[in-house]
Amino acid sequence: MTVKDAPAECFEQYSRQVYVWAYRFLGRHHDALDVVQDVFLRWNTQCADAAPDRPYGWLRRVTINRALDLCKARRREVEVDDFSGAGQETVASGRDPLDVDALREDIVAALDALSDAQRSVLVAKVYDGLTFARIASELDLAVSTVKTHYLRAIRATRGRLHGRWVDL
Amino acid sequence: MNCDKFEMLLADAIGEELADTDRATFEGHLALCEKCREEYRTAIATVRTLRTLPSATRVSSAIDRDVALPFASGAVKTRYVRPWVRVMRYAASVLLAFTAGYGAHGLGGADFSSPSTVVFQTGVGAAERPTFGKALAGNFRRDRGRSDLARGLIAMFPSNP
Ligand SMILES: [Zn+2]
Repeated sequence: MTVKDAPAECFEQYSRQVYVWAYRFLGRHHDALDVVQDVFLRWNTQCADAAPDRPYGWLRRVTINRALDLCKARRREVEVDDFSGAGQETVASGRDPLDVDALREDIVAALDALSDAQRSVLVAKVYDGLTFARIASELDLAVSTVKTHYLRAIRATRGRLHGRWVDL
Repeated sequence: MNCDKFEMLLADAIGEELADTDRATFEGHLALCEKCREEYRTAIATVRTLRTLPSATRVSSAIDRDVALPFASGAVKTRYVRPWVRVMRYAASVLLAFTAGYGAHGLGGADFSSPSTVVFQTGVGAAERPTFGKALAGNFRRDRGRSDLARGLIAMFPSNP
């Protein structure tokens, strides 16, 4: 992708990926769709101003941040209603659905505590399986900086997941 | 090798990018340094835990199978186009219409149950037209699934993966 690409082309090319990112942290189909729509509306607005020259990195960052926001808003609603809204999802991990919801909440809280760069690197590496070199090029950072972000992100996340989820 | 210099190799190893030429150095330090050994072990456990979070693994197959269009599409009729392609083209054209500088006429109070009521036309004063993004997003939140973009998205991603 280059800067001259139209938002619509970007939508065709990346909407599935955006959905996958959003679904990972939300676990619900319609919430993921909300995020897809919201992200591309923002993309549209952004392009009217100046199209980011690294759409993939931009979309990942905005999608994850939006998904985390929605997750937090949902959790607040759940707290108010005292209602556990598990159940809509298909679980591929072999965990109990309630466990998956709780794990997702803890992972979201862990990611939320990271810096934007750490979060982007962690998701790109752990979930998208990109190489450090590719991530560096996407984020316009030195490879050594990306590795440092990765280590810090892992350490911070480990602190959050320690005990309950990570057998140490 | 001291622990500070070991950091980059540690990142490589946790990131599954350790070069064969570095493996002996990496394992040599691990064998001698309990702190780094623990660091490595717990980091690997953390990554493994993160990866147990399920994702939408079947998205592609859901999109690629034929889905019923939720609205009439004026797109290509001359040759068969897979419905999901048409849906994406439609959604793309909606976005394109906005970026090309067209006004969205009557979007604020439009009846989105019929896509034919969404009319794009030039020459609408900038002051009286809502931004397309706002109209679309606002409508979507009030009545999920009824905006054209939302219809397109739901057709593209028809069910829980
Ligand atoms: Zn050491």
